[in-house]
Amino acid sequence: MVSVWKALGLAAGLCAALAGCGGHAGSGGSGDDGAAGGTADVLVIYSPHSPAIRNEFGRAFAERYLADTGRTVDVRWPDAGGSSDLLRQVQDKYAAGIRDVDVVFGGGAIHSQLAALGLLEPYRLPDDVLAELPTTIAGEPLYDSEFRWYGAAVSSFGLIYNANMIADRGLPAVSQWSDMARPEFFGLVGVVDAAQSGSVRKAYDIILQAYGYEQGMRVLMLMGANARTIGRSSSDVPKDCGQGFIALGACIDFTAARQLAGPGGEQLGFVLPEKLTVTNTDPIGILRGAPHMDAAQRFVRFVMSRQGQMLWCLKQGAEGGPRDETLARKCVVRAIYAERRTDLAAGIEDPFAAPVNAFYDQAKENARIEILPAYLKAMMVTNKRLLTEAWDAVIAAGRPESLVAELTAPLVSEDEMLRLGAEVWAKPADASMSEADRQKEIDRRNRLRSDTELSWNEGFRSRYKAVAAKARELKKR
Amino acid sequence: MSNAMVANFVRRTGWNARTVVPLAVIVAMMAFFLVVPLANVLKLALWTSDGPTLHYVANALRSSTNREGILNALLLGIITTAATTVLSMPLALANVRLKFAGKGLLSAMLLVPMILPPFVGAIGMRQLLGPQGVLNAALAALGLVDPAAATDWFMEHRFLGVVVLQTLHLYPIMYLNLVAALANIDPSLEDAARNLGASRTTLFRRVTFPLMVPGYFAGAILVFLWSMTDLGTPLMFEFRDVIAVQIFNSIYEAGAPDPNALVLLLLAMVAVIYYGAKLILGRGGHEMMARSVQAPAGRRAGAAATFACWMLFGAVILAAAMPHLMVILTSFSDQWSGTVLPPILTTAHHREALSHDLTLPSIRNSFFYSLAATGLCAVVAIWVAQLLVRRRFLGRHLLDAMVMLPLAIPGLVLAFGYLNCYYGIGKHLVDWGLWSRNYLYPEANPILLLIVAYAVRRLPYMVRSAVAGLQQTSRTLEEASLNVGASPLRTLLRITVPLVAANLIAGGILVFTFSMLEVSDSLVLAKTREFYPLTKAIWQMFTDEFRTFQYAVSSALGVWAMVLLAVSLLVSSRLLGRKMGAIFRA
Repeated sequence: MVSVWKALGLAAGLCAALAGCGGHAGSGGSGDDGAAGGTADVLVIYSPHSPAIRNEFGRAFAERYLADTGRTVDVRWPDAGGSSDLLRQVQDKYAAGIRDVDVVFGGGAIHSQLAALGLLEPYRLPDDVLAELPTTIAGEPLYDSEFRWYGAAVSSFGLIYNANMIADRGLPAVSQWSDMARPEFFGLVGVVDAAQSGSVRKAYDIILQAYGYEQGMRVLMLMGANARTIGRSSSDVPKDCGQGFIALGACIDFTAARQLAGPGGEQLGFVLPEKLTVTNTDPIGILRGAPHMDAAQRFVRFVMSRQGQMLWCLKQGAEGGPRDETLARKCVVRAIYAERRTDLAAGIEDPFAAPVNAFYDQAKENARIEILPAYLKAMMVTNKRLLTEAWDAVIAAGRPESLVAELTAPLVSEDEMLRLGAEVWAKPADASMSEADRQKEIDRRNRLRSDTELSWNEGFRSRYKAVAAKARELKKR
Repeated sequence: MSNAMVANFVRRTGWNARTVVPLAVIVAMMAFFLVVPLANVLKLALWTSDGPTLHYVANALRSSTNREGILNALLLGIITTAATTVLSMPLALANVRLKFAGKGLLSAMLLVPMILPPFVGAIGMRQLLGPQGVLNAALAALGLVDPAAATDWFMEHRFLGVVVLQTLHLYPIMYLNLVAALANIDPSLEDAARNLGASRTTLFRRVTFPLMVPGYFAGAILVFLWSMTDLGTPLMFEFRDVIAVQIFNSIYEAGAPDPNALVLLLLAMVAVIYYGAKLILGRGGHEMMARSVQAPAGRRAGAAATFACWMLFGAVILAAAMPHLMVILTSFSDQWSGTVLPPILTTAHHREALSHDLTLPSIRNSFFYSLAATGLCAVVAIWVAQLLVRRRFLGRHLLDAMVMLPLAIPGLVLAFGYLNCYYGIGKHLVDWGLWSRNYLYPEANPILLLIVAYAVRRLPYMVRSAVAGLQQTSRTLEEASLNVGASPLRTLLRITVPLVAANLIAGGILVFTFSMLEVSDSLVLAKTREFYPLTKAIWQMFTDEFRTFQYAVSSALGVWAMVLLAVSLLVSSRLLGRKMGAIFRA
């Protein structure tokens, strides 16, 4: 029929017109495979940072590069998703033999994993830059002993809460991590899956270390039981809090600050639990075999130098500060806090002056960096519904201590978890293994891992059902 | 090989030249762009250094959580399909058989649910059903609830919420296929039944519905499979006990390939359901000789019937359009919490969205990708439909399964599959000087892979529509054309395609709209701003924490996406309307 063909012809013409006009048809994308670009040098960065941060650092670095070398640099930021996506994508690329990314900038706490996988290139900063950097922050190293990564900025975990909701419903005041486990906050807590966010995983690990393993697991489990939902991204918590979906939740200071400064922020509050500071360093590192090594090293040098660091913490428009947006992040060069006090963005204080975690054991955190999220997932993500029902029943039965203890007892001891972490979850460390043997060992560990996770899953499931049944029985009597 | 042996072989397998050539091309394309990335995912679940293994599949089945997830997915599929049937059938019948004032506009507006943009649509729902949302505010204003103890409607009756939302979102698929099927029915068959004294219900049950079966099957299987594998709606309601969410939660984590085994289970489930449904519903249908000599415009409805139609269409449209309304209102408001309507309205966010440097390029990109994908889909679908309906050959069922496969694969699985899969091949083509850049590697240039991904993902819709159309059309018409000397290609273009035009347009509407609003491939494959499709531009604004009113601004862009799509739908709906009333030309 004529009309059908006319329509198709029109559509085809439209297609051709769209393809013809506009830049994408002939112009470049990132990562040209040897095709000649212009005369600019190139730097490719994977970063989950927001466009505002990328713009400020990209622009300032390009200016510095031009001043130092007389050449222009094209800084490219291909999209890599959030921190867990980023880790996965880098691993997939290396497995496929693709080397087209130079630097990883940001991404929460994935640097230790990247380093453990051997994906980072050591690069020692010049002495004058290193001299300005403290060696530790809140008891943890600020940069890798082998110089594979550096903490480029620092942030703290705290509790954001909705003061209006708390007042309206007569809920207790919020000041500690363990408040998330209180029965009054049933259904009103924001929780994030540790498997999806490295910074959240770290926060949970610190809770375990601060309260001790048994008590810590109780706090985590009841927090999960109180959760409205288990989210994927830590930035969901402040938003949910602002919209009245949850009354409190753990989140990073700068996301909370933005929520508090935004519309409706006056109903919100943010508190850093005393003595249990959870500090995150936002890493930067060069990827192994980076195609533009010189530019990559210059970028790392720039970010860690005073010039780069000032972009984080100074107000927009201040000398040396960001040009378009106040980034409001805590930098790692202490001298800036002292010398530029009046130009600091609102709410930015020297994080190195905060009390140090005396109890913090970095080695322990690293040892369970993969197994802890898997365990917590079986505990409160996969079986969330049953956990919530069990806790609901226990609360209704008056929370007898024996039932609560039964509900919250860990399925594995701390030592057992560390052992499994080293023998099953970790990649085989023996460098003398042949590739074939290594693969066999990886497969063996994968099978064990699958079996262990299955047993945890079934273990928690049956326990939650049993406890719920007992609680209901108790309530009837 | 003697001539006799070859002839025998051809006769027994049905692999003559006219069949084998298109078959080989289609299979090669599907193998390259679908089977290969999928195989990469599945092989991790089935193969280790010690050889093949069922360890992970066994563990996946042993997990009670997974079994629950599978059961819930099946239940969801069944209930949603039933609900969409009940909803769409009267609408389709009214559309095709009746003429009433405002029918054109109302029929076009029925397609409104399809144009809900991602991310902001979910925000719209939260604005409606959240503790500080519109529903609670309305109930509080009526004195029915205490605002301090506001209900979080997402948490009550989650399964029901998912069913309702899915039904309201998916009924257009059923509706479009039913409309095309009804349009293809030869009215003389129904006239004959009526003349023989059949009552209205008997007529529907014994004549109309059996003749509609191919179209119903097309719609039902798509709705069922989509509902079963849907990720967005269960996530919105935090309903995690379905297999799609369980896969989503674990597919990124490096480690044991348990999620890969889940993907395999899902595929197996889909295959079983699809073949089961085909056995019951999808076999052949009834080919009809003629449409009608006169355009079947439907009989004019009386006042009561017109009113009833308005009520029916109106109620469905209103319910289905609630999220859209919320998105529109959010885009015009600064801060909207706890009230039925936003306190202040402003156009600032629209101005911001429209002046954003991503907006115009992303709209242009999306149109280009989606139109190209629709075209590619249509061409492949016609070929596939011809093979499946008009020919008998060995491997027919495998071809059918292959083109339906994309429905079963979770979106992100395929998207991640495309990321590094073809890097090597593309690199060779660049090294040999055939290409200036690596079009098979999204970080270099994602255009080709985006178009192919959109097309592959939506191919089942187009194929089912085309197959339904061919099943309703008599092959004698094509045979007559061949008999008078027209080449097969000419027959295809001048006879076959126009006869199934209604079905192709129905399928095309679905493919185009869903491609414009596609999420997984757009997010994962479009890595640089110049290639961003519209959905990624919305996502960018949605997640930009430095933007004060990020929800409002991204909603504003979402509104413009809806406007664009509404216009496209209106145009295609009119085309479809005319096709439906087309006079058969000899």
